Amino acid sequence: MPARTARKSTSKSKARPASARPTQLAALSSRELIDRLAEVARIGALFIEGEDCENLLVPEARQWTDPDDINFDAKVAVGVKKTLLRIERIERFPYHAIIWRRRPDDPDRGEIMLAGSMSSSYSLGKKVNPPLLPELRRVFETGRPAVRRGRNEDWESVTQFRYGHVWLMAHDSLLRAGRRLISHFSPIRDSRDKVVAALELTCVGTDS
Amino acid sequence: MSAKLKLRAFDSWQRVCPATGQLLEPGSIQFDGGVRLRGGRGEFASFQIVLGPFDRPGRLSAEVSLTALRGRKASIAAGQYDLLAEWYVHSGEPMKRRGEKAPKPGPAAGRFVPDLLVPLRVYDGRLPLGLPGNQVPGQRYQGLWVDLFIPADTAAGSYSGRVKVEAGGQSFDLPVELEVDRYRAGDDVGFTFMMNNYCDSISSGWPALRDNLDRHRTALYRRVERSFWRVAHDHRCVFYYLPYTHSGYIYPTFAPPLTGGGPDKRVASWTEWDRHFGGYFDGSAFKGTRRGPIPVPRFFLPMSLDWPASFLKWDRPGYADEFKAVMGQMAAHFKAKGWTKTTFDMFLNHKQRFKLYPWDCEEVRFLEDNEVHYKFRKLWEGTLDHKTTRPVRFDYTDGTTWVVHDDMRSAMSEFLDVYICSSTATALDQKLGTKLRKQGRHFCLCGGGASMADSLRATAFWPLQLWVWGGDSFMVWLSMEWGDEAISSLPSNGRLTFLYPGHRFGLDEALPSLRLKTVRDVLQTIGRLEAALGHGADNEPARRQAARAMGMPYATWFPKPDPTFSGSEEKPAAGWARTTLENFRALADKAIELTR
Repeated sequence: MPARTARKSTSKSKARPASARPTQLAALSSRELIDRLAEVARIGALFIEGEDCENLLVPEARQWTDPDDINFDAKVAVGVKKTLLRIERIERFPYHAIIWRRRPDDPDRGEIMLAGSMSSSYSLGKKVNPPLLPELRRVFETGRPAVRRGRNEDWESVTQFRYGHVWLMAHDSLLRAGRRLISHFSPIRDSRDKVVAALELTCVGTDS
Repeated sequence: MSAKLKLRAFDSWQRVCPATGQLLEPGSIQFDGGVRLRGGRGEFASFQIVLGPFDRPGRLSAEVSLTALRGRKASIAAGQYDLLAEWYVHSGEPMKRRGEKAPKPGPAAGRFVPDLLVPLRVYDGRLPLGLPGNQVPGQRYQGLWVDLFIPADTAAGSYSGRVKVEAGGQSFDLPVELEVDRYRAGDDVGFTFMMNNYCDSISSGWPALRDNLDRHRTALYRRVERSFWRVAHDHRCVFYYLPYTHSGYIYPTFAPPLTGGGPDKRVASWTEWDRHFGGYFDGSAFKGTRRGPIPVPRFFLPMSLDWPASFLKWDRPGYADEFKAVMGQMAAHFKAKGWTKTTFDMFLNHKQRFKLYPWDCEEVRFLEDNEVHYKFRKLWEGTLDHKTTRPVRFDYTDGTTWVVHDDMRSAMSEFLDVYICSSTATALDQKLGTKLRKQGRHFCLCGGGASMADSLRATAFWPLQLWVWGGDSFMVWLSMEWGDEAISSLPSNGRLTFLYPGHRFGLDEALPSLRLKTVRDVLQTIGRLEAALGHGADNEPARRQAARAMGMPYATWFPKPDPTFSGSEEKPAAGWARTTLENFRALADKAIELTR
């Protein structure tokens, strides 16, 4: 059961198996999901300030390269985090919102900066900033959104299942059944209209 | 022509190479002429049988039978024995510690060693000589672990019985002698091993669970999960299961459903959550275990930055309203249920490095991150502090790995109940545990365990050292790191693996590691020392006496201050190589002498 629906089940007074509960997700084709994510991205970008994305980390931490060395500016980051959580509530099917940047020391690598309710499936764990996905490169270099559809074999193996990506656990059997992850990447601009970050909205597709 | 099988019997310290029959633990006792055990009431005593050489694994099997143990006026039923076939796992290389030269490999390094223990009932009560699927190259020897539980109401005295083994047309018959002393292991585990894990690290061991997105509502999941708690319980350990992820995501049934918002937020129903967890708190989940239905001493609450209050309301009045409303109900519910024997731990596990929240809520490295705890203090006091919730107890728990000495000197010390520290916390202050205890605080030491490639003495020294340092408990940050389904090797050389999934053997239960038995036995010894001399942190003389019994000066047990130490680089059991099995036997003798 997609994680967001699971979370919704904790706020309902009537407990019934999640598998019996209808979800709008099943009624949408992947094409429709992509269109909806694009609309969410359009709305969401209205509420994310590019400078806030640049200032998520305290100044001295922005260049740090060791993945254990992270120091957020909590005042900025709390606001952005809440915005990501609200973006995840625009539509009623489950998806997650994540902010990326290009590594300042290595622009051919991306770095997850902050996530809403779950991190990106393209995270390789805290130790590694992944190579810049072609879709992310397109966002940063052209300012145009891009969609990526991935397969389960792109991700960590099942043995990492337990404490790697939580939402891969939640979606694992859907993915192994051939469903694809959909990620919609869109630009976040600063006040000078420069693309300084990318917003990823990601969900499990409804067809193979 | 096949060589004749030989039967060798050893104490619980030995590991025998399955290929060569070589003894991997110098100083272990080989029982010639009969097995000799000793123990107190409510304790376990163990021995091992090794058969071999055989010419081909799987061709033969052994029938093992044990009689009851008869004393002068009483007996211990044969049903108190647990027979566990030894499954061999590759040990990998010895652990190299940062800044040190690679150690010279000991005899257990780089070979298959017994670790996973499989109930003999899997094999219809017969011990295959070479367990199916174990695939140890060149295996010629097979071990069997024998656990004996001495029931709490056993009369002190001498008992005797026999163990008979038939295999390959040969018969072996050994007497078993047991000496039971008057000491009774208490229900309170005292210094214990908190087997830390993260939800849902269990389901990956069972395909039927892994593939079921609704698994947490199934009887199978509950049965499997409960077995992990039960196995930990019988080893005098605590299965310490954090019910939410770094993102704050909570799996179904790991928190009660909520409804409403603001000051009206409330638990919609306790039914599912009580069914899932209530048995741990009233002890009923442990019925049928050897130690019996004793409530679990500690439990992680599902409380996080996003539960019960929504993080969307952080720093707004509604956040406090939601926290106080729901946690107040929780305290009232626990009181109504009579769950007063378990301490419920609030632990904020979020860390910046996972990019989900902007603070390190534990393992704080920048002291300004403690602002989170100061905000929670205002919510805690009047809602979950000890005075408010008595007789139910909630503890404010924090991983103060990097900053314990700062936290103890700051306002944090006014409300933190549990300090989870790194293994080098005592490098700067050997009296840290005593000081925390005097403040009424719990001192838990966290790190990784000893490597399988090192001697079992390393695994035994590790908890003992942490107790000598004054700990109230210790933990590994992960105790179920599983490798491949073939269970031929383990990540991290087994340092983070003490329980295995039984699915591979058709079992819906957890299986112990041999090293968990080693830890259990040390905890039994420490239990005796605490019973005789007081809790370690309260009684430095007790710890000094234990150090003397081990033949190692007290000051040499403590880590040296290391300015280059990163805090996250633990050095478990540093110094174990100075120990011998004679040291551990002397310590056990001392503990028995003090409690006889």
